[in-house]
Amino acid sequence: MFPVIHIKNGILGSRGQIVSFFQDISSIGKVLPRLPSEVQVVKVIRENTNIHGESSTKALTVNCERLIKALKWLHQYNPLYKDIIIDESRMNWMGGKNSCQFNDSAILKGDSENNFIDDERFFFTFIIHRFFYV
Amino acid sequence: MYNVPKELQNLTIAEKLLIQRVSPLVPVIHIKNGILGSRGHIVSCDSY
Repeated sequence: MFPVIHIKNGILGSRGQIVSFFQDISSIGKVLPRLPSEVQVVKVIRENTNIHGESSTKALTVNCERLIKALKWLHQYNPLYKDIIIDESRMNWMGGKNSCQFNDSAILKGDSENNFIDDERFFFTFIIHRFFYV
Repeated sequence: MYNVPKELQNLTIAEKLLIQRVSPLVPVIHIKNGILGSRGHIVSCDSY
């Protein structure tokens, strides 16, 4: 569990305690992409907007087309992805939209006074998941 | 140096989580004021 804050332009920092949990790693998935329900992640996001109107929830946006393209590239060129099965129907959770959020995100609404934070630290993203990054 | 292909550039955290096959565990410790350090071994586990 890794509390992450977004500082600026994709630069991440940490705030608070880091905790580890046991996880069942007995099998590996071959059908990709995974469903959001299969990603063991708890996301608590404080929703804010910067002065340019960008939302703090951008980091958890999924673009279907970009994701499938990335997966096809990995399948073609990365030997670790040779045996995977790309099941595009697993993107149906997006309801046909090309881009949307993880649907189980808990979003804390920013209050009106603090909704616009200065550009230096314009939003706060608090993500907890068991293992981080690709 | 290495080149990241354009298909893998600009992926969001959510997108990386959906396509990753391996999850690395990095034992990160908090030193002071948000500064992080690493202690121990890094291990990568298969995602299921």
